[in-house]
Amino acid sequence: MKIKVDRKVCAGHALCAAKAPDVYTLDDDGYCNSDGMTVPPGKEEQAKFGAAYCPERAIVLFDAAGKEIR
Amino acid sequence: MAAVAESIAGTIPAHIPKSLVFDFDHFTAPEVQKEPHRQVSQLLHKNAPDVFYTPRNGGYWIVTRAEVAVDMLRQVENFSSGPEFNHFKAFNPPMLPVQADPPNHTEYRRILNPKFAPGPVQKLEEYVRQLARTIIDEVYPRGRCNFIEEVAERFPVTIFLKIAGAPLADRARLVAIAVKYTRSPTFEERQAAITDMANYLREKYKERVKEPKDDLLTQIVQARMPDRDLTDTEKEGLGVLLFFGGLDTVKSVLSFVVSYLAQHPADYKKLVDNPAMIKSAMEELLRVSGVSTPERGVTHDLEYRGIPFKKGDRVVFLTQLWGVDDQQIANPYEVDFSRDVSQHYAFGAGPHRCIGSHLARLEFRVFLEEWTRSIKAFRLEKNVPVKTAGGVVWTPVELSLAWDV
Repeated sequence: MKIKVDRKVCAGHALCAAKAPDVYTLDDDGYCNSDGMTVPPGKEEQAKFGAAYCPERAIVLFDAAGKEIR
Repeated sequence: MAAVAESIAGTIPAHIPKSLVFDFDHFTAPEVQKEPHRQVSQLLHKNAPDVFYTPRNGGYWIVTRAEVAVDMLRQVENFSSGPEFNHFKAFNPPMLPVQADPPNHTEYRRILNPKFAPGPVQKLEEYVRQLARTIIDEVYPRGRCNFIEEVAERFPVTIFLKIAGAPLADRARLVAIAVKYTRSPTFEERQAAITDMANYLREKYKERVKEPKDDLLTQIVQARMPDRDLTDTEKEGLGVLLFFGGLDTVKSVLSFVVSYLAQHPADYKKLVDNPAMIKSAMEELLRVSGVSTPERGVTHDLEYRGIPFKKGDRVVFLTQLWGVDDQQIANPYEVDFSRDVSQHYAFGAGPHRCIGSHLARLEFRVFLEEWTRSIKAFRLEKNVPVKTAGGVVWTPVELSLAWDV
């Protein structure tokens, strides 16, 4: 599972990292810097939970075939 | 559509379609004076267009739905924070970074961020916890308290003044100025509050130029834009906004949260029995406790979702209603700690997301951890509905609590 973060839309709420700390990391200013990262195996549900919490809907997840996960 | 009083109907500009007019005053409507999130949502989400025009307080658009609002707040080229597009916000000094658009806005945020990013904020946890304990230990033996004055004003304001570097002795004076801004519907009163705050800051900045310290005041005095020094007006504008944000908002949200818990003992007991739950329950409580009302000005004549906006129109965003928007969330008025996702916009959305959000979340969580540790059950002291006030920042106005000692 791959993470795509729209950095232009991310507003630094930092809820992704709060809700899914094993998946998302923040830069020094508190904005998500997990764009392009692969979700660690077994953490897929956490990744979805963190993405669902993003108030800006800035995080989209893709499966191995490159299909968007909803 | 609510009938518009004849006395103000004539003030509605010609470009506003009659079908989009709804008479609502977010400062004084009866619905903001008791359970405002539920009452105002029931009034507006059920009866008013998602974006409507009210002729009150000089006239402006109000946006009540989260999806529409989040989309509009991103369109900074159409809905600007700049005072040049909003005559009602032509304050001196302009409040920064709120009253600026990117790219300047981005630079102002960069100046303030070192004190408000998640990392630096996390380092304050032990101090915040000690302060919460001190305040709770003081009121606990009495078996009662006036929560707003004795706890909700003291706790976040003390923390903010420490970060800012302003003396605690100035607390009452500064809170009074902030409240004058957030509860006044007229431009003149709000400008007077801004002038008072700017005058205060000017004195403090002089002190910091002479003797720098590790605080926000010093950080502002020493800050630079990429290619130049900050002007005095910019320094004052940055300070004014931070002080208004730090002095009135957390107090209001915390009072809404505690007011809810006082009236829902079963929910409170869940937190007492399982303090580990507080972190996630906080988001659900924040969902129904939003307080602030950002505003934008329309930059040019445009049509958006069929609505004819004209350059200079004011647009007011009731973020308070987005967490109880039934298009976003099922059973919106029901607080349910077992919800999967408690989506809300208590800290706004888009590039202007509340810079104090990480500090506020830390304060709420630590406060509830300490309150639940000391007080196993509590209630409203008087069996009457909690009175609340509308305005730029909504808040409970009286909240006396009681518990068994």
